[in-house]
Amino acid sequence: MQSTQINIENSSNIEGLNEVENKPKKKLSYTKWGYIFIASFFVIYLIFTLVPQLLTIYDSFFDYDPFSGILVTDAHPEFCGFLNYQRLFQENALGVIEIYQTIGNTLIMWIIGAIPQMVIALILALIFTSTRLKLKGTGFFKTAFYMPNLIMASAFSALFLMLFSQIGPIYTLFKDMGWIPEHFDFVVNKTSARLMVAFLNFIMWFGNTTILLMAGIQSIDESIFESARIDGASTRRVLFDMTLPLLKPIVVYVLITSMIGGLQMFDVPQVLTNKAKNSGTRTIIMLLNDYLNMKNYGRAGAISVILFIITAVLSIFVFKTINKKEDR
Amino acid sequence: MADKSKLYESVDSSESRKALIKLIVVKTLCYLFLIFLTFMSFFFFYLLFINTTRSNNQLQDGGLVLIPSDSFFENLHNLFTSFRGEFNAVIGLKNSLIVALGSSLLTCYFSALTAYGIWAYDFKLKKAAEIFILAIMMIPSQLSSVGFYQIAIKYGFRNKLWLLIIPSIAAPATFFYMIQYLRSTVSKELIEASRMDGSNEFMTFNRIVLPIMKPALAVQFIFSFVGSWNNLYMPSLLLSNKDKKTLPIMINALSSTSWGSKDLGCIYMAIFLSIIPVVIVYIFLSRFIIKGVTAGSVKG
Amino acid sequence: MADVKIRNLVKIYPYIDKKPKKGEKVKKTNLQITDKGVVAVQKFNLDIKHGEFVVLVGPSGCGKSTTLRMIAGLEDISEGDLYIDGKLMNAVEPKDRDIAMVFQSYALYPHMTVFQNMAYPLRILPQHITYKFEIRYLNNKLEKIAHIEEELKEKYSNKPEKLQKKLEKYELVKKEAEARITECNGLIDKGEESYFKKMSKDMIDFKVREIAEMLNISEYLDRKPKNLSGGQRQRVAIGRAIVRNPKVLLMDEPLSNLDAKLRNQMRAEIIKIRQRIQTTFIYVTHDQIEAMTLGDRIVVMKDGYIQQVGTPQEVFDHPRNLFVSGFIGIPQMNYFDAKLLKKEDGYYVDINGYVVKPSKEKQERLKKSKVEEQDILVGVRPDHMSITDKGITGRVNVTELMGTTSHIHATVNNKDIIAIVPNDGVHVDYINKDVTFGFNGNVIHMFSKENERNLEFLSEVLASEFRFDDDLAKKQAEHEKK
Repeated sequence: MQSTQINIENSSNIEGLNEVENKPKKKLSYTKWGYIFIASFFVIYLIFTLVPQLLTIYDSFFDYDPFSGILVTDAHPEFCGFLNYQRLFQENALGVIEIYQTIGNTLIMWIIGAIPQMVIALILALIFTSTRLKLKGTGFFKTAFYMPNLIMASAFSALFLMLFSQIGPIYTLFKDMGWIPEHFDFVVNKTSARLMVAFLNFIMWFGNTTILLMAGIQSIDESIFESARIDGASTRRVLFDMTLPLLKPIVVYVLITSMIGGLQMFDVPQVLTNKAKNSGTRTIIMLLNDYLNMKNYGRAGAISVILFIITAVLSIFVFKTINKKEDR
Repeated sequence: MADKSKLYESVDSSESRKALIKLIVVKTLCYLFLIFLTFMSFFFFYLLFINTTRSNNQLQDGGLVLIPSDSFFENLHNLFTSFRGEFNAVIGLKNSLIVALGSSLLTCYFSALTAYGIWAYDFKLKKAAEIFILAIMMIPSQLSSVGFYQIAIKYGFRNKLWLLIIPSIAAPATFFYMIQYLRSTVSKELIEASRMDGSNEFMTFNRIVLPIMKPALAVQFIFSFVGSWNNLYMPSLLLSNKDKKTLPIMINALSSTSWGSKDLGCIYMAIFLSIIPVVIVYIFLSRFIIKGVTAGSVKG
Repeated sequence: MADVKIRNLVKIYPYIDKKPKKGEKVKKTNLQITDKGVVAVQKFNLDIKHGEFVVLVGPSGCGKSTTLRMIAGLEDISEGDLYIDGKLMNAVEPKDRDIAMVFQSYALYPHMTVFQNMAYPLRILPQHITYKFEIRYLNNKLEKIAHIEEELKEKYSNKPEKLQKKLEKYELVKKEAEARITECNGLIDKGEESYFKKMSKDMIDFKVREIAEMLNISEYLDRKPKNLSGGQRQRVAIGRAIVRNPKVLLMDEPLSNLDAKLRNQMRAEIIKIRQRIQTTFIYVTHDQIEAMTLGDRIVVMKDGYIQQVGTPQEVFDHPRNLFVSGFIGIPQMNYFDAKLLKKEDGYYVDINGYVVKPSKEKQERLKKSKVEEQDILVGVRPDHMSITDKGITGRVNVTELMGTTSHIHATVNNKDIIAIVPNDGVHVDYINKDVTFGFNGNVIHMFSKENERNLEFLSEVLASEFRFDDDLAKKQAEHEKK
């Protein structure tokens, strides 16, 4: 009892241990494995994304334009400062400022697709989640509405192009009904072409938006609605006083991410209207694509950088709405 | 059950009868609305299907026909044998399949690996690495496309399919989904148990973690496959060789303003062929996919 | 089986983000905070003998799990040394330490069946295969062959030629196995125990089934973990740990996810398992009943420090400080303010006028420790209190009938105490009455108010202050003198 409570086994053993102790001690550490496991991602990102990104930005300050004042060969572009950016905001031979035109087109087509899409998706999300209506078959409808989102956009557009062409069935139907004038071309007419692009985007994305909004509604505590109802709020009041305000962050999130996606609109207008050379549906990415095909990397780079800046600003909004959501 | 019986009891009073009628009216309107939207979603695909069954002659006459005809297999046969256009079904299907399969497999495996690396180990740059990946998630792919295209041309990498496959190793969005899945469903004790049982770190990942992550891998595989299958922008920049084109590029090349000289049956069939694999996958896995949409959306 | 020596083990968790600024409050913790980080385990010293069952016990955050994880190799060792079987293990990966662990959450691989879970450790690494085990395995094989032979004989009874051919095949295997058995027996006689090799598929199968039978989980071998009950999962987890005959078996709160009834069952089960497999156990728990019933020795920890090491009996009878006395024993020990008096014929304890003379043993220990007169805390376990005429008086608030005993909750000098009195057929309603409680000198524990130590053992080196280095240095100095 008087000695220590810990039984140390006797000394011969201890001397042996001491010898081992003199050797340099290594530590057991898994740190290196973390680096090993994430290495592939970062190496590939560096080579295939980061380097090209930096090259794009670098390019945007060099003149590749064979018709520009400072004429250079393709192999030796010259530093030109912000010339590429300035040129983008100048009128071209047709008297059009291409960057404004394409961004304008993109935004117009996005808005006429996204606004109805948001409204309808909201209505759908509300009636799907309504405990009053208790609709049957919501699973089927959700599945049906989401399907167009997975369809190849270029194929969907090609289909539209054919259905609305001069010999397509929809064209024939419209003509027979007398809704359109003789020799009307859907993809050449500015308004109809824009409407078609917007409509296609609408069809492809409203199901997706519905599902996102439903998740948003379901994440709201059910008891909030119940207590509002017990407090005497009508269905309409619950909708406008509770559901919509609580849903606002998600709606903003969905809208902005949709806008970021919308800015990158390419497949649909490309397939649908590129052959028709419709200037009313030319998007910013189509412009970029054209410059790339001309090997004018400077101008293409400048467009990419502008697009990146717009996206970055919008993304900050997204993160802010997300953070607000967390505060709630 | 309880709700229903209450409903019947209260039918007597005129007030609740009014409410009941109102509910039925609202419900009917809702269903009509839903059916209309369903019609919109399917109508064009239905037309597509009808038109694949009609011969070129029938199609050239125009007109809206809603009843299938009998030329489906003829069109299919013609598309694969005699169709003289930009669309080569065999090559397109093959290339699309290679790129989509290759890139989605790499995306899934390496996203899971990266997520696991950040989730399971403690190292100095752990947090920085995760924040970096989150930050680059929002950068539009177009920013790299100019430089990428330039490099590809410079080093003669155009028309190489692997150039579309390898970069998918670094997929920030998939990484994000994976790390969330790991955090919510896998316990670190499992990793430790495996370590105690004698696995080395790669074995633990391949034999224990990957099988547990199967649901997440499957969802991300589908999305990544569909995304790659449908992608037009990057492939159209890089692939110019006839033998290397993928389906979306071929579809893009089909679009025209004058259809009179072309075999429309074959073109409809080409479109049909491009979308049908995804539709079939969707029919079988729709429930799964829709769950994935919601899960992926709960970001932040 | 192996012995485990732990020398001055320290775990410091470095600050992950930023060092807290001065004056800034860190998360509620009693742990020591140094420049390097938070010290979760303080100079931990312990020698664990071959085949011993040691239980680390303490409240959450006391460092018991961290210690276990350092032994396992899941957590790196900040300072100090760990020896298993005389070999320094600090930098050895867990898979090479020849240890196994049972986790609190069982950590069963959800995508594998019970069989696959248990076979996993055997499949991936070579194992120490004992010759005894191999003989068991071969005998089983021979039995199986005999069974098959009989079946064949029945089947081909009218075709002797075909039978002969079929039997020949088995004959060869049989001979091989028999030869190997004699070989193994020879090696055992020579004193060899085992060899190190990857197990064959058949051998793994036999081994897993053997262990499964021992744990009564043979019927569930093809099920996935999610289709098992908590108790069954626990058995599988233990099975996976013991299937490869680890030298040391670590258990991290293995029973805490079970309900009370199952926990009692599994406790008995663990005792049974321990009797059947020869290995060293290190067991972590916060449950004192588990600690008392399972451990050969228990190590009580708090705030990263060892409080006391000893047999359950020792810890219960002679808690070395106030914390240990309160932590071990249900319901908790009662404490009274008192005065230690030193008179000519020995020490006396004066509790508000109730004077008790400590027993002879206690007197001697107090004398040896040269304890002076002072204000002290006296601890008495509820079981040792009885209702008497002479003693300390308090008002009874609540009585709980527990069956053969009653718990009486009373207030004495503004302190709540509990006394356990037997139910001997005479029912008295004590509620709201003043009752006098007494106890004798054998059962009192005297604690210093100054440092909360048990006064009887004041001269002893504290477990938390014991440093192996000092001891070693002394011994070495002596050695050099010679």
